[in-house]
Amino acid sequence: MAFRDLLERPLERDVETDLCIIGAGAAGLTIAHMFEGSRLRVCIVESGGRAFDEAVQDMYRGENVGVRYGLETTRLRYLGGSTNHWTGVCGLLDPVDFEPRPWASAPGWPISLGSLLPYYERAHDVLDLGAFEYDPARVAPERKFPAFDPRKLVVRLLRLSAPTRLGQKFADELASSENVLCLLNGSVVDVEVSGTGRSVSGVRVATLNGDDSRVRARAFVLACGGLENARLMLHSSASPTGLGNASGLVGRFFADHLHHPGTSYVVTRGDWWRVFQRVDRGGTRSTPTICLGDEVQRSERLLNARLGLAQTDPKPEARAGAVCLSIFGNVEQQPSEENRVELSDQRDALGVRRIRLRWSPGELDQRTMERSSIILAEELGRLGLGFVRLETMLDSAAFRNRVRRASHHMGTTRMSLEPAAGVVDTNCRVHDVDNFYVAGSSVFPACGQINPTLTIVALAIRLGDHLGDRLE
Amino acid sequence: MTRRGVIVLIAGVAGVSAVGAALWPQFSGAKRLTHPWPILARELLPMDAAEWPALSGRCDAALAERGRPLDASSRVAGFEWDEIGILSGRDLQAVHAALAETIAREFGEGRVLVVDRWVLSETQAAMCALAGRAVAGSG
Repeated sequence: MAFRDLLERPLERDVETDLCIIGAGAAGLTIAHMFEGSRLRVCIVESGGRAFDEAVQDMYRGENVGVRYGLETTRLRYLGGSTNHWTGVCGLLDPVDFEPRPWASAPGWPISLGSLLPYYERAHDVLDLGAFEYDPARVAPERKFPAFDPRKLVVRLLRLSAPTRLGQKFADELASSENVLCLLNGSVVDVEVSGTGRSVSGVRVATLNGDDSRVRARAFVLACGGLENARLMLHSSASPTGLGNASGLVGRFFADHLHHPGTSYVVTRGDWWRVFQRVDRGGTRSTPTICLGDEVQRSERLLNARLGLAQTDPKPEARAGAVCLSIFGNVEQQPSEENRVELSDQRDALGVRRIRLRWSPGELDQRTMERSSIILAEELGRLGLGFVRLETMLDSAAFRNRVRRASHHMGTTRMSLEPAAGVVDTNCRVHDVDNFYVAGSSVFPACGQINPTLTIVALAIRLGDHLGDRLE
Repeated sequence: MTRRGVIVLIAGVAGVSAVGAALWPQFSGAKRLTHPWPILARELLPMDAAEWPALSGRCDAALAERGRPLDASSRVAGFEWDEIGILSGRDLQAVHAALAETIAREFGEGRVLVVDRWVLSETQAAMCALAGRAVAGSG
């Protein structure tokens, strides 16, 4: 039996293992699955059980500074993590996301899109996405997409997972595993380093009924999500500033995707827009979508954005008989040092300091949202397809307060070549620490327009390969 | 003119009228040339006609700010207009086509204005200004 619920059966002694994975969400379970049946011993430490529990979820509560952000509602703390409530939207980062963009203070990724592609392909299996295909013209050759100016707008493809709940998907495999042990209801409350501070010796695991134990391993992967990864590193007793925080950047650059509030809309005729409706083919599902072109992002110094269209109720101010389409989709958020995870003075039930999140959308975020809608208006108007009415919020205060976020937690342990510029290296290893790795969207130095889960899983597979080479 | 010529002319006029009425049923009444801007505006503007009077002044202001104010010598897409926006005697189908082409070109060139959150091309803003006046002028 490879599940062990620590509330029912506490550990009699510390666990000694080869690889310790902290967190059983998309990244952690993907890596554990890769090592199933291998010669390596793997121990997953999951704070929750096999189902939602209010008391465990409460450990996610925290404070907000700036715009209210639902720390306890935008993620889930039990087996499978936030894949228990994700919507299944997947896609690739765009080439421009990997470039340094000085106007957005975006450093670019220190790895290339090309080097990620094989991992994206393997991630399709984990998320049950079917064939690795992102060309709308191949997936839906019969659809005639508008002839947008490719410098301004491009049609890309989103792929839709069922959505796969990874906790359910891998439950049987974990239950019968001989080399992967999954500790449930055990929360990591400290990451402890060796004498030199250059390596992690173990993690302290506590339970809500007062038990306390340790897991020691040759290597550790922190895979608790974009908020919690930073929290645990900052909370670590390794140093007064936490673990791996010589750069002072742990927790900084928190970013989410911003949603168009849905009040911008297109006034049109006919049904040309139906080419952007979902494609169900061969057991796989896709949605063509409109994205800002790389070139217009560079020339107009914008962030990335995508613009979906969905039929909505007729608007009284629109001309009679018109079809109205609401504009929705993700707008990338500028990486900003000021948007950050800090530690609150409040503590959770296990004594871990809660998160204080400083977060607010910024001017470039707002300009990108507005400008992307206008670019769409320009292209639809040029093609004679329709006209656009913009959001109801045009001043910055209204924007900050009304804009919706996608609950994608990214950027707080960003990847960089140089230790001074980030938290993890290109293998996702914490710069200052030999055996401590971070998995998940917290390593994203830029988040583009695409939902993060496929990239999280792709990076987890890449990290799994690296760990396999290193540990075996 | 010969009898054959007269027949051809009558047939031609009838044909053009039929096509015009089919394309723009609004033109088929006795007042069909009274206020062409509103008629064209219904085809080429995104907002309901009830919005025009309120938007008219804002479109004027936005065009002035853009350095393209509407005045007595103005043309819209090359067509002259009088003070209440009458284009009497024009081939409205040709006007419609020319305006649509101009609007599309302006969108492509980024010559757009945001008026009351509507993203309009410069010509659409001018049409809205004129249509609003025409509706107000016609009571």
